[in-house]
This record gives sequence, C-alpha cells and structure tokens, in this order.
Amino acid sequence: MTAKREISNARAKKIKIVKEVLLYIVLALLVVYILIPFYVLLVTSVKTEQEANYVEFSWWPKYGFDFSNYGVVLADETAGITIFQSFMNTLWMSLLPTAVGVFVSALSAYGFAKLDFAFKKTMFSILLMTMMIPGCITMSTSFIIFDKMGWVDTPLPLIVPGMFGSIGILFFLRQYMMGIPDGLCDAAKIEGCGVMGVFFRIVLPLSFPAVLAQFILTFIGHYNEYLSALIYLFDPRWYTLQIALTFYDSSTTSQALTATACIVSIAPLLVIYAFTQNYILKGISMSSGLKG
Amino acid sequence: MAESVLTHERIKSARYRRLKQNAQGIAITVLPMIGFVLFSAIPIILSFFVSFTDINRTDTVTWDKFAHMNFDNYVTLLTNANFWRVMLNSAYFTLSVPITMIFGLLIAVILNKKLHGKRFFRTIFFVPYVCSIVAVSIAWKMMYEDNYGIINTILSQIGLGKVGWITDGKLFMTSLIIMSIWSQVGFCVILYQAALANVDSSYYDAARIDGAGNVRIFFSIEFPCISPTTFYLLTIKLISALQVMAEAQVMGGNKLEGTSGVTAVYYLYELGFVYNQSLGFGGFGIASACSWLLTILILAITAINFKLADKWVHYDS
Repeated sequence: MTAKREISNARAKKIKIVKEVLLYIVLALLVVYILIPFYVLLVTSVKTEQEANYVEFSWWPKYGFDFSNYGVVLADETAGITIFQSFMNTLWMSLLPTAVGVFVSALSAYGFAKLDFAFKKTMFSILLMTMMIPGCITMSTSFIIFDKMGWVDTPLPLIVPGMFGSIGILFFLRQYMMGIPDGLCDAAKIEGCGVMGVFFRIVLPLSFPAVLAQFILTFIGHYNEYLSALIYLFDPRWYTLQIALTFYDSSTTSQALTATACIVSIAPLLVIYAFTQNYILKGISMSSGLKG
Repeated sequence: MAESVLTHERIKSARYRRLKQNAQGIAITVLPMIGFVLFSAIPIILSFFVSFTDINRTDTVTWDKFAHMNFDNYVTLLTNANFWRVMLNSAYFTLSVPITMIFGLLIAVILNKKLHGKRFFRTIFFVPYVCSIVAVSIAWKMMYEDNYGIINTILSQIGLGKVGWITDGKLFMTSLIIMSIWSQVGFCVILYQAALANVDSSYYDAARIDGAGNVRIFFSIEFPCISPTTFYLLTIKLISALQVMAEAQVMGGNKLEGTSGVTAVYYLYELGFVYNQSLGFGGFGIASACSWLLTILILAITAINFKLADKWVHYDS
C-alpha cells in the first residue's frame, strides 16, 4: 500500500518537474522573441554597409565587424544636425515639461485627495471625462492656434501643454495620496503648517515613490514623442532624436548607419529602465487602480 | 447686544475661512483644468467649425473663412473609397488588442506560478514598451525587408517562399498587428500579473475543496476577479489602436498602392499636413472632418464597451 503511494508520489513529482521545465522553455522562447528585433539592430549596426544592405541576414557579420558606424553616427550631421545635438534637444524638451508637469499634477492630486472645496467633484469628473477624448481630433486646429501664437517651428508646442500637468498622472497620484492618513495632515496643521506646508512636508515626501514612477514614465513618453515633433519642428536645430531617426531611415542609404542610430537613441532609455524598472513596473500596475 | 455682535463676527469669520478654503483648493487644482481648456477644449470646438470649411494649412485663418460653411468635406470623405479603406484598416488593426491581451494574460498566468527569475522575465517583456515607436518600427522594417530581412531569409532557408510583409498591400496591416503584439504585450503582462496577485487566496482554497481543476478555477475565479483589468486594458488599448499612425508611416505605408497601408490618423495627417498626389486633396477642413468621423467611431466603440461591461465586469465592492 505505502509502496504504491510512494510510486505515485514519485510520479507526481516527475510530472511536476517536466511541467516546470516546459514552462521555462516557453518563457525562454518568448524572451528570444522579444529580444530578436534588438539583436537585429545590434548586429546590423556592426556590419559593413555592403553586408547590411545587400546580403541576406546572417546572425553574425560574415564580412567582418565595422564599428566605424558608431563613429559616423556620433560625429556626422544628418539632415543638418548631429545625433548628439538632437539628443540634447530631446533631453531638455523632455525634462522641462516632465518636471513642471509632474509637479503640477502632484499638487492638484493633493488638492483633490486631501482638501475640501467647492466644485471639487464637478472639476474632477470633468477632468476624468477628458481622458476619453481621442488626441487626433485636435491635430489640425492646435496647429492653427499655435500658428496664430507664433509657436510653430519652435519647441513651445512640445513643451508648454505638458506643463499644465496630465490627467492620467493626476488621477494616479490622487489615488495614491488618498492612502495617506488624514491624521498626519491634521497633525502638521496643528503644528502650524499651511496648506502648502502640508503638501511639501507630509504629502509629497510620503508619495515620493509614486511621484518618481510617474516622473520616469512621463519622461519616457516625452523622449519618445514623435507626432508633435513631426508637425511643429522644421528648423533642423530643433530636431529631436525621433525626427533625426526618421531622417536616418529615409535619407541614409546605409542600413548599418540607421541601425546604429536606433541603438544610440534607445540606449539612454534602456539604461534608465534598467536602473528604475522596479519603480516603473510598480507605477504601471498601480496606474490602473491596482496595488502593485 | 454684545452677544449678537460676537456671533455675527463669528459667522463672518467662518464665511471668510470657507471662502479662503475654496479659493485655495481651486487655485491648487485649477492648472490641469486650464491646460485642458487651452489645449484640448478650444481646439476641439474650433475643429468642429473648421470641419465645415476649406481652410488650408497655408491659409491665414480669419473670421470670413467661416462664412460659407457646408457639408462638402463630409460628403467628399464618405463617398471616397480611400476614406473607407483607411477606416477599415484601422478597424482591422484593433484585432491586435484582444490578441495581445490573450497573450499577456497567458504569460501573466505562467509568471504567477512559483518560478525562479519571475522578475527577470517581467523586465524583459516590458523592454519594447519603453522604446520609441520610431526605433522599434525601423527594427521591424529591417526584419520585414523583402530580400535581406531576417524573416524572409529564414523562410527561404527552410524552403518556403519569400513574403512581401510590408510591400504587399494585403499583408501590410497584418504585419503591423504582429509588431504591435510584440511591443504591447509587456504592458498587458504587468497589469494582469498585478491583478492576478490581488485575487484573494481563500477563493482558490474554497474552489480546490469543491474539487475544481485548474481550467475551472481560471474561468470561474480568476477571470471574473481580473475582469476590471480586462475592461481597463480593452478600453484604453482600443482607443489607442484606432489612432495608430507612426508605425504605418515609418514602415512606408504610403508607398503602397492606394491606401492599403494607411491608417485613419495617418490619412488625416496626410490630408492636413502633406500634399499627397495619390490622395488628391488636402487641407485642415477635410482633415478635421476626418478626425470627427474617426472620433465618432472611437466614442461609439467606447460606449458599446461600457454598455457591455455591465454584463461581464465584476467589481468587488
């Protein structure tokens, strides 16, 4: 009797191990699937121009490595701007609206979460409804308005709207701040903090992880912004990385150079992601109203 | 006498405090509202009126442009085969949403088992989501390339014919869907994983005692419990899938015959901002009309989505 049970136990264990191995194989295949496009970029970026353009794809460069692509991409101008200059443009055009926008969103989130005032509910539900409006509808007429203001062909249309905060960030941070006990805020008030004092001394420090997550996500969003850069920027000196990339794609004949430019442009984000992925992933899973 | 003055003062100061509180609250929360009015509400209202005019990008917009408003733009669009084709393309592209969500859910279910290296897998799956659409589209364009791309190279090596992934109008949108699944699946994995981790473990125990198997547990417990996440993903991903553009543009969708590689937003961008020979006409008026038609479609789909949600989305409290 016991021997029989032992045999069936051993069998169950074996089945379990086989199942686990199968799961790992599936996961490994998925990882390969996710990484292949990046590998293609990476290996193409070190191929010679001839091989990258005119030879069937091979997993390893057949005609030797050509690292000079990186030198060319980093030093040369394409469409009137070097990739480093366009990176600097992207950097400040992203950091400015991110920093101001996240701060503004956090401040209003604090207002909606912790303060009591007239029209609070109405204002919040109007803001919530705006999340459903498709962005494409304002494409042409925003251009007309910015044109009237003289903002076309300047970075302002990419920067200023973001500075008024974003409803998505506001909604998420409000959710987070509502979890901060009211007692803490009241205690600070008794100690003599004003409305802003409570925000800076209590609410902002306590919601720092959430604010940081939103900061990184917003920065990534601005860094990758393409459509408004395409519509509003004509002067090469304002070009962002994404625009520079499309010029590499359409005007350089070398696939190797295009691949190199792609690698160079996504590398900074990958580094940021590698260091902050915990915050980012938590921020994403919390943004749908779930706990991370 | 003295008492009534005191209460009067007290009421006054209470009223003052209330006023101050309201002013402070509104001052703190008003900026996003101003941003919405300036950069969304005004352009939306303007685009409604512009859609009945023939305003061009190069025009100086003045009031008399709005003197002869008519339905010409809408008639032109609705009787134009190109317009219906791009709407169909965008509608077809939304197929990527349920497919991505199913893959995301399956991966999340696997990752929620007791496995080593969970965090590593999660991190990898999310990488495409961090990268820019432009860079990612260029990578896939290289992979889809007719003669030397990795996919056709492998196909011909195993004896199959080469396929015109992004040069064949019949395949173009499908190729976009394949790429979109790749880039969006990580987002679904992260959300589903968080949702699955939140399912109350006592439900599982109860189901096991009742003798439910894995499949039964998934459909009777996990799926209803994570239905708010499914609904959230479905809503936001449908809205963004219907507005796909950059992918089609970078992949060269306008180089194909007709509009077989053009999506709705790409089409209205070309209408408004690029003089396009094959599309024939242009201008902000018709682009605005096109964006209104697309918006009506998006709002209708979102409304249906919300209506149906009553039937299958379960909220805990």
